[in-house]
Amino acid sequence: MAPRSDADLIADVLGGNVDAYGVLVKRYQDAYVRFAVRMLGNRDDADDALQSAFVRGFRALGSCKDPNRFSAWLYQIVINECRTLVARRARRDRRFVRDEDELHAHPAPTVPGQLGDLEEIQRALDRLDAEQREAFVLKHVEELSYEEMAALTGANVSALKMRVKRACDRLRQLLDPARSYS
Amino acid sequence: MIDDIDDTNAFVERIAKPLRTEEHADSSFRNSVMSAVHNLARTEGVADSPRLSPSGGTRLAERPTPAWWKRSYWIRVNALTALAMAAGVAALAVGLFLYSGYSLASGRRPQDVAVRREPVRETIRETVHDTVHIVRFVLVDSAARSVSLVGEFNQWQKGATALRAAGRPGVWTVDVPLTDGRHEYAFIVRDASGERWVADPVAETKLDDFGTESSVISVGTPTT
Repeated sequence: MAPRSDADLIADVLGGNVDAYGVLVKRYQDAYVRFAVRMLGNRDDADDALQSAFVRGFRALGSCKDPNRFSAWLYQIVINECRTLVARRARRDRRFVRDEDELHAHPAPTVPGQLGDLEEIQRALDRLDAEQREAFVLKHVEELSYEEMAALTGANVSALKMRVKRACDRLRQLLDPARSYS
Repeated sequence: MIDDIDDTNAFVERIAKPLRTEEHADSSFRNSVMSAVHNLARTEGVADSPRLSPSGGTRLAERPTPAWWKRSYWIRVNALTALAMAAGVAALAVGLFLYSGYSLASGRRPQDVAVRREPVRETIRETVHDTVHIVRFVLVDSAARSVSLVGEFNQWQKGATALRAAGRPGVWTVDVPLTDGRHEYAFIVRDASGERWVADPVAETKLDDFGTESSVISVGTPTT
């Protein structure tokens, strides 16, 4: 039997069958984990963001104008949820880190030649500006086109290209300083 | 130039490859979500109405449901009802005024009555608009000594709109008449450590150019 379409499941949920949403959760629960982990830098925050996104998706299901594009619609919610968490975390961190100059004067230790180390790369990724990190992850990790990124993020293509370029430059400074251009 | 591009591409590929390692949701993830969803469905019904613009961030009503005493409430009132309310409020004001005089005569302190006159006047003034929304702002902060509300609606004046202790420890509330549209606001909390700017923890937030977080509430016809 062919799997039910997203649109069919959404109609079922809106008709009162809450359990049909479970099928959508199961279908997409793995789709955005990697994005959330890369954006937030740890699994716990990623799980919080994703759970919140799925619950908000349920609450807002009636406003999903094109149920056949549910996955893209949910992706937008996940991105927004990650942005919110990043902003909250930045505010929280500001309470404890008073001296930004001091912080930047002591970069995380990097060892050239360990570029294959996921943790090391993730630490560098965590140090990017949130917009640059988001653009880099969508482009080079999720491998989306700039047009797809623009549709998801609301930013225009040239702005996204600039963010990706700056992200790459910054990552190079952090991870491969000997060959960094700037 | 071409060498530079190739070099950059090679670098990006080297770091992106490990980042592309697949990640999977925990086995309990679906159950956690569905548990929350079933709770929502019980308390709010099935998702049957548009509440969210996925690219437009969150609105107050879209947040996970807080306890009743943490929620902000708004009441929609049409012009006729508002006029009736205004008349009632005016009668109340007269009653309070008379009571104030009685209190003075009887030697009681009239401050409570005097404090109540301000919101009464505000309410009457607002009813001349087509629609008035009385929005209750609530903040829970057990360490706060005083809380005030600042926003576009009071020109961000710190002392203009004070929250009152609601009778339960740490619960502060104030009712504010607002017109249709989106309103930015924040709380100013004074506690033992001084004065703090606090965004509403249950509302949509917005960062300004300086990275300060304010809250946003949409009143009346939802904006998309």
